[in-house]
Amino acid sequence: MDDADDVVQLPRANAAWYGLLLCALVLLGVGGFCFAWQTQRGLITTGLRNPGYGGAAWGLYIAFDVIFSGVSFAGIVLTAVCRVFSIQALRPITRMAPLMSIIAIMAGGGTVVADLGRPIDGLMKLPYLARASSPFYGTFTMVASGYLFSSVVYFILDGRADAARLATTTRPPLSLLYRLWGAGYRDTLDERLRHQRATLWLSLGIIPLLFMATSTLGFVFGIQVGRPGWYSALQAPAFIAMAGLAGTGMLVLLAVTARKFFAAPIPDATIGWLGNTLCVLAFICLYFTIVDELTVGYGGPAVDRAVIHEIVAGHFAVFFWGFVASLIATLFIPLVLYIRGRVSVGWIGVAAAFATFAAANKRLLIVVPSQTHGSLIALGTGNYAPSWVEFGVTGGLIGIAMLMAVLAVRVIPLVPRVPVSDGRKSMRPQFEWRRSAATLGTIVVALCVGAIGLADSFRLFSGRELDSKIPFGPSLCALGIMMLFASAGIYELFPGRVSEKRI
Amino acid sequence: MSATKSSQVSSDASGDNRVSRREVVAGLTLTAAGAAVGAGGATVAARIVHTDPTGRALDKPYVRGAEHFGRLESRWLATSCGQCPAGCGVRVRVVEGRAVHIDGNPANPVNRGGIGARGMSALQALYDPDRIQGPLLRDASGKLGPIPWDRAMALLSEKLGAVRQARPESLLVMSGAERGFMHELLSRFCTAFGTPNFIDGKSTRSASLTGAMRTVLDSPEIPAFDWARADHVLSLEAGFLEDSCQSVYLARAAGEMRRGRGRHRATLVHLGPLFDLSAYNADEWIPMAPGGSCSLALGLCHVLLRDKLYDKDFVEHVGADFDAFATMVRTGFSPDKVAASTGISAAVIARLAEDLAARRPSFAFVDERSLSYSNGFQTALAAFALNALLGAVGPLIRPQRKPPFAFWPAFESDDVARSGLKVPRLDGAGTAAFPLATSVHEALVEALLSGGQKPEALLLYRANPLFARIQPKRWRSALERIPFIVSFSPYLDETVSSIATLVLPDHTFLERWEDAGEAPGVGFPVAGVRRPVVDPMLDTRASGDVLLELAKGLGGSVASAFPWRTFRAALDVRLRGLFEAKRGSIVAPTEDGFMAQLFKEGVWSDDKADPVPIKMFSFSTQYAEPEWDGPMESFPLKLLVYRPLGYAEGGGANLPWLRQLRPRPKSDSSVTQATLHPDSVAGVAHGDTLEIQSPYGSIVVQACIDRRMVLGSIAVPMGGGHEAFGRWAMGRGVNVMHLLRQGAAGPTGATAVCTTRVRVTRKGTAS
Amino acid sequence: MSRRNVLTHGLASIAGLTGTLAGSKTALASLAPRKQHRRWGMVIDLDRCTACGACVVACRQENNVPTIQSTQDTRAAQIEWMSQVWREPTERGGTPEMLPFPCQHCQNAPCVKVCPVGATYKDDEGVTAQIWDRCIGCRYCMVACPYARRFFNWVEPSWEGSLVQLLNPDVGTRPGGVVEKCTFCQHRLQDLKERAAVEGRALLDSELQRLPACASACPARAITFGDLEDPSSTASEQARSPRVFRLLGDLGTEPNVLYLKRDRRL
Repeated sequence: MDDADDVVQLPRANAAWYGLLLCALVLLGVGGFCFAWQTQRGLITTGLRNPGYGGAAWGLYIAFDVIFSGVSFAGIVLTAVCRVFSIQALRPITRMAPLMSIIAIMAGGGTVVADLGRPIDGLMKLPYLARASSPFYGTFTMVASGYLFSSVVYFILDGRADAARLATTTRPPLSLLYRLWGAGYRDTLDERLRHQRATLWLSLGIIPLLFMATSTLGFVFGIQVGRPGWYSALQAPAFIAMAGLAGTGMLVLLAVTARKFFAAPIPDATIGWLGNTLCVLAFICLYFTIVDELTVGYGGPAVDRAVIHEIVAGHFAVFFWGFVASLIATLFIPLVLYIRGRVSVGWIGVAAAFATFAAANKRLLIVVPSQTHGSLIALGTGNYAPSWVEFGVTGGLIGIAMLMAVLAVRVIPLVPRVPVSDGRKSMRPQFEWRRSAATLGTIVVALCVGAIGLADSFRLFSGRELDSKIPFGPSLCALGIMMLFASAGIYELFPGRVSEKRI
Repeated sequence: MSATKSSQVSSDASGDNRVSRREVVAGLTLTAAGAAVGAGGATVAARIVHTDPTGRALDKPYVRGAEHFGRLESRWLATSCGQCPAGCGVRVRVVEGRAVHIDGNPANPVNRGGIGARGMSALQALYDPDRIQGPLLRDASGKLGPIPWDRAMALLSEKLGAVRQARPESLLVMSGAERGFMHELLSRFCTAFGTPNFIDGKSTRSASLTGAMRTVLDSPEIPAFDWARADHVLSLEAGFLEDSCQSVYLARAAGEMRRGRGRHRATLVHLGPLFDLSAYNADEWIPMAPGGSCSLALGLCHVLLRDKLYDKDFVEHVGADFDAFATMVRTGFSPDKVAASTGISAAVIARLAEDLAARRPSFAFVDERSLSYSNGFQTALAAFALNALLGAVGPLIRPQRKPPFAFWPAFESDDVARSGLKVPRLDGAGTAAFPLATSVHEALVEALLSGGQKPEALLLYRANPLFARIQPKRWRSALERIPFIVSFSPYLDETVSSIATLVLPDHTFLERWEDAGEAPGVGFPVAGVRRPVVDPMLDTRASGDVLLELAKGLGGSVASAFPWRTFRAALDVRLRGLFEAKRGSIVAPTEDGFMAQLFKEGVWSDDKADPVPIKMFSFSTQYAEPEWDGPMESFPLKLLVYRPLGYAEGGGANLPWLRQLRPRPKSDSSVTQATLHPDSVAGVAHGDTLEIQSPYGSIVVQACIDRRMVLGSIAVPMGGGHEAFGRWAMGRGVNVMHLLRQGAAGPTGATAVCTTRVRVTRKGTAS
Repeated sequence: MSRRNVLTHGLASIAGLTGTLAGSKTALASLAPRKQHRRWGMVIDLDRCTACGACVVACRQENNVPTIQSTQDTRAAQIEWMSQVWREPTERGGTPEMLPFPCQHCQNAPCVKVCPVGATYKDDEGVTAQIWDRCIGCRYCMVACPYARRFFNWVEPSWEGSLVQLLNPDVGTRPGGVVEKCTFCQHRLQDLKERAAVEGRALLDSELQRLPACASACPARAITFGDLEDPSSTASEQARSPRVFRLLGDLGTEPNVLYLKRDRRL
């Protein structure tokens, strides 16, 4: 690729950009008001109530937490897959995807804060006291630190080339950011080889760890024996499939938007590739849905069957059939395009919209019916309908995500200029023992710290259920995961010899 | 606010100032530690450190309002519950002048340590934020405003003095749930004042039962049923675990008869139209047409007589007028005939009778709910006759024996009083229309509305006729004609807020000296006493004291009839009888010692007392079918009105704890629910909005579908739809009393609430 | 004396006490959890229960359970550690059944497993306890509890006007935004242990039987509390009855609250 005269262009502020900005700010304003209202008056302002009395203790917030983390998961995993298999067609979205992951996981964190009865206590106590026996543990260690940190590391490393170039063409204050970001990047052959190597190993780490992390999200629901409709071994894999679908759909929507309004050079082939991914994932999701409903509906315990009935033909039928219909649409639109051998960005955008809609429905169907209609001992009847406060706060979080995205559009080159791998697989970067030692050392320390943190979170050292032995012991586990991902950065950023030649 | 002023209570506590065990603990540990802090500090610390399950203390007030606590000095004071007439013994935990817990008093034979939901809710009645703060006077603009006690008392005695000089009989005194000697104090006041018009509240609840007791046993007492010795009980529509005045006693009895006698197990059969707690607790529940108890009891008598299963000894030696009764039963109440009116098959009736006979000792039980029909009096007579045939009258059922109270000295009525007492009563109680009545509320409202000589003043003691009586609107127009209305209510109820001229708020029962009245149903004499466990929270005064002060102000025979300064002094005179009896649970050498012990234990009882002998039992041939008002065609459903568990004589509406009870399946206390069979109204579903119309009014309720309910009836609880009475009571549910026919039943003048037919239309469906 | 002073003084005295009492081992030993295994449990005899609801009110007044505010009457937001649950009959024509329904104190408690911060835990004597102030309000335990025995403070609890005076000083009130539940009246248990420790004796079954507020109030004597590991206690004697059953017994939660079947027959 001849990139010497290919100047990285950042989009200008057009009407669409201002429109999106305004939209984000309005959502944020409304959300801020709603959150203040909720904080002032307590969670009674939400539609949430005690389960067993016809209410649901978790609702829109947790559903959106699952959606956001699913989107986050898909973004970084797609990027990793692209790198591992050197899929050039996906390369153009490997800047947007980790960015989407970062933004989505932050919004996901926001939903948890909105959901907690005592958010400040939560933020202070979770790092100090978290117990590994709670499925939530995985959410906040692996999901929060894993998703966020792996995305950040990948995003920073992969953007250095573009940033270094931008540093020369922009003026302060933006250029300062690019100089920092691209600091030390000299575009030598070794630099490129090292980068390829770093991202490959990073990606190889990301895929299994994030599959595990998303599974723990599934376990939050799937291992609860007391909630009919939840207890299922299928929850974890279904969560991964659905997260993939939601994230891919969201990515397509973002890519189409970026192409249309901000002239992002994303070729049709990329969109087509994502469309095919949607098709496959929709099939898997549909398959899981059929397997799940059939297993329980055919021979499950009475209460489980009642929940299924409520979902398929009762209160939640609209959501369920909306979910199934959009899943089928997501499956067939790309399939037809594939059979006819053409790529239609518009149609794939429609399929992506269906995928996102399906995911949102499915999350509500997972969270709510088992609480409102799945109580083994019911003391009352009722239903869950989100209150305006919940809609407002959730909208506000979407607004935050939008705002971050809208700002990013003007600052970050949306499509990387460097190929995912330039095919020189046989070439290896120069061996530097200091660099390798530092990297390996980081990995070893990371594994140790993580293991100690995890063991302490299981209360193995203190022998009590209540407290861990080490102050902030549970945070060590998260720290270990972060360090593990950071080792890729160490490898790439470790100061090397200056004598390397530029290409 | 009362936390700081505990002096009065402590000084009155006489024997009760013993240090609690907790303080002993604290003291001991303190001595061991040798630490230089006050005993109180150690108590608090021990408490705080150990109550937190982690063992770590919290750096914030542990309990809201704990700033007010200093030494956490805690005492248990024995008194008697006043939430219903049962008079259960309770122990109140008082911490620095605040009552924080009510528990049962094991020394009291009524409840033996157990306690009901109503009793515990008394704490909320005491600390009800909507209590009246002090005396109120209605000004010219019609608003109630505060007035000092001395001015209020001056006004009261001036007004009543004028009434007494002009026409003493134009003073009307109405009471509702008066307790113990307050009834006699009010009665004595009326006699001394010269008015015959004392309309008491006792009569409305138990008039049918006491009327029947007078007829069959010639006794003025209510009957005591000995559940502890019965092997089989037949409940005739009794609501004994919900609205009975002895639900705690009976709950204990019901538990004991199942599991309290080793392997031996007594049985309970309930007959009634509604699946209530009685039906729930019965071994067998047989649905029966409402009001069918009278004919059913006689039908059972028929079988007993026919099959010669009755107690011939009793009939021969004690029974009177048996032959006429036997003839009536033999001719008119064969099981086939009874089956038609009760909806219970002849075979089942025969089986019930055989069971009663075979499982002796057994009896048939009736209470207020059984007798809430127009034929309540006759039902009670029939039930007594049945029990007589079973041989239960005497061994198991006999008049409640009163404790040996002393009497207040007789007094000389002056001319004014004598002239007033010659005038006939407004309600006609005791006349030919109501020969067995002591007072007739329903006739009173007619008399007031029909004109004639209207009363000039009305004293209301624990009565809220503008809510609790049938057709409150009619009561309002009747009572509005009285120019001077004084209420002693501690709560801003409907009557106070809309028509009372002067309000002299009473203490709650946790703040005053009183006796608990007779313990209904226990059999042997029990005298519970009440004492203030906390200082008065507000600027209120015990109504007994107010009456005594008023009597002094009125002079004449009124003053001479009440030589005591406080109600406690008057109480002591009567309690002296217990001391002088020198028997029972407390025997003391000196009267002071006796009184101290009595108020420390909260109760005197004498389970060795000889039962009241049964000399004669008159079989009665009175019989009546329940009457239902309104044409069958346009009003097809019978309206059953009942007191739910949380009704607490109308006082439960503003007590959140009682409002949260769930006394039956699918119940929802935030609305008034009408229970009905789904086939009684076409297409009705659970949660539907229904309009119930009677010839007298209409209300909107929520449907509660119960397939167990008998067809053709709809049951609605009392107690909803307050327009005043406090924040929890107001605007919740509807008041069913608006629908009912007004009219007194039978010779006893009892208020019969289940007499009205209604029609029901669906107004909306459940969302 | 301000609250904080009381606290500090109290702590000081307790600290002093620990030091000086070191010699008197018996007293301290009985304050600490015994070596010998103990498992508190409750047996509820449905045959005695008359569904009067006294246990529900007793629990509310003992444990400062926040009550409905006058302005709000949302049933599904109510807190009731002890509930009355009506179970509809399974067969047609059967009668519904009322269960006094406290926390089941499962030995294998789903709520304890899921708590992310260890706010709720199994104590050494089988009680499912909770540290109110540690709870962050994630409500996972409510979702996990098959018995719906956990309640969230959807609002900051308040006691209107003078009602604040009836609060029991032995039991802490909970802040808004945390979950709360039945504690088997831990404070009463602790109080009893303290007394027994000072008197240098073991706990008596007779004083344990009616120890929790619900058991103490019950007019029908349907609720019995006691040590289920002690074969001589009344509770464990009742637990050997053929009528015994556990709610949702097949879930494997192993509740420490046992029920005795209702027995209605002629």
